[in-house]
Amino acid sequence: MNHSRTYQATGINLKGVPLGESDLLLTILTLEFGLIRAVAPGARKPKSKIGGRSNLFVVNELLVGRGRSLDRIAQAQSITAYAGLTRDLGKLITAQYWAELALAQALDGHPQPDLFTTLNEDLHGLEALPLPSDRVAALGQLLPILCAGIGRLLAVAGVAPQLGQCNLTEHPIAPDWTDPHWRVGFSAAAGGAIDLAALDNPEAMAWLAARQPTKVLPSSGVSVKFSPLRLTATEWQSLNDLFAASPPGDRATLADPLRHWQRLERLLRHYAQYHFGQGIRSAKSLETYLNTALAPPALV
Amino acid sequence: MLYAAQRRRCAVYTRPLARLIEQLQRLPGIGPKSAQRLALYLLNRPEAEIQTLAQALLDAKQQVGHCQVCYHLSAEPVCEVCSNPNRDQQTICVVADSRDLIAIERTREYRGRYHVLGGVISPMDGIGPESLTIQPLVQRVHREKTHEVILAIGPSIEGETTTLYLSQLLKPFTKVTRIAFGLPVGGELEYADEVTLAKALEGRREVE
Ligand SMILES: [Zn+2]
Repeated sequence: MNHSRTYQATGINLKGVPLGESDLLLTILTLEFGLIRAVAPGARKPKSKIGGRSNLFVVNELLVGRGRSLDRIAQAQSITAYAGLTRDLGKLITAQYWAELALAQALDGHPQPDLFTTLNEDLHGLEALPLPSDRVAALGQLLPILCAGIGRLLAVAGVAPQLGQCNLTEHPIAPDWTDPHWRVGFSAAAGGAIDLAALDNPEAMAWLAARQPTKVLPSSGVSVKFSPLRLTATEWQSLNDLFAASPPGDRATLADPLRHWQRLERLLRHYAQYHFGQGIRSAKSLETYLNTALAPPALV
Repeated sequence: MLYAAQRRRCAVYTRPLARLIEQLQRLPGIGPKSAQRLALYLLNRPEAEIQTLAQALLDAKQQVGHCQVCYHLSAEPVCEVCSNPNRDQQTICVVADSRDLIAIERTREYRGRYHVLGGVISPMDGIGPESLTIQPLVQRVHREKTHEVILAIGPSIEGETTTLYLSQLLKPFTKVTRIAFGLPVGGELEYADEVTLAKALEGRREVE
């Protein structure tokens, strides 16, 4: 940033906390300066000119004044508001899940145009996505989109899992489609896929054990499983597709798509929490929302 | 840095005073300057007055709970609004928290009853539908055969999602309406922000 008294930026609001009598302190992911924190003066007053513009996910062109301790928004002009996200709770959960991942990797005052663009493109797609009114069917469509977005956010952070070869032995992973019992390991600590045979090697196990979350994440309260998960060939293929440069053609239809994507979401969540060193709070709502959709609570 | 600031404060204020300022500064909307002003003001008041204040704080904390019916703040098991026989039993106005209820009561326009949700849905803040009093609301509407539920929740993204989520849940049982949002009374159109203006357009109605 240069040192004039004001600066211009295009940014999306990712967080707002009340400040003082009527202000909001916004955390904004900007195209030009990465993450900034700025006061939206009077934003909580009904007559405020900045009120609606300080809502979550609104993208504004901003004129920001530098302050001694906190910057202050002098002017804001909205470009888009993603208001369609409110029509479905699943969409809000998905959007906030992505926002948490964006916040976890965004750097103060350091431009990350790829992060800004990826998040906005994905929110745009999510907002426009038509969803069936049946909640289970809607979730069946939302979960793969959530996972794809998580995948893109991991990729822009430079921590996409490596799936094509074993992260311990570097042997290529080749699923055996004829064997329904074929499995491949997946470990956040190792950085992706692992050949299960490699786990027989005591050296490999020691290497993984040294990366146990208790050592990596002291006191962060994030529970990250150490023992590698086991993926079926179909799950491995779906993950591969998420991180592929070009979208794959039609895949064989899944027996239970909801469970399939629920499992992949948990796996990606565990991987993201390990690599960003923090929990994803939206995931709890996602779990509850899924469970109530599958088994609605009885009245009375 | 904070440590240095605290040490500096201890050097200026005697320890009990520094502690009081620190506690006041934790209150919403109170910065270091206001905290200092309030602390020095309190010190100048007679001891009896301070006793009354301290007792009021403790009493409020110990005695005020939530109404069993609507979850508004109340010292009784059922709040004054819910136990008032003159209020319309068939209409429930749903608000995010007790402050909103108090604001609506001040208008003296509304004669029905309320339901306080305890917040709005915001998964990234750890607030899902299960953290709010949504299930008790659905049961209440079902049980009381409510005629109309008025949703009076602010138009933020989270508030809007909560409104639409509630309306989907409640529509099978009752008529669901929502309060209008848009331009402030006395506001000029050209000064309105795009988000508010869009809300006002969305909430337009036929001229009678
Ligand atoms: Zn009550």
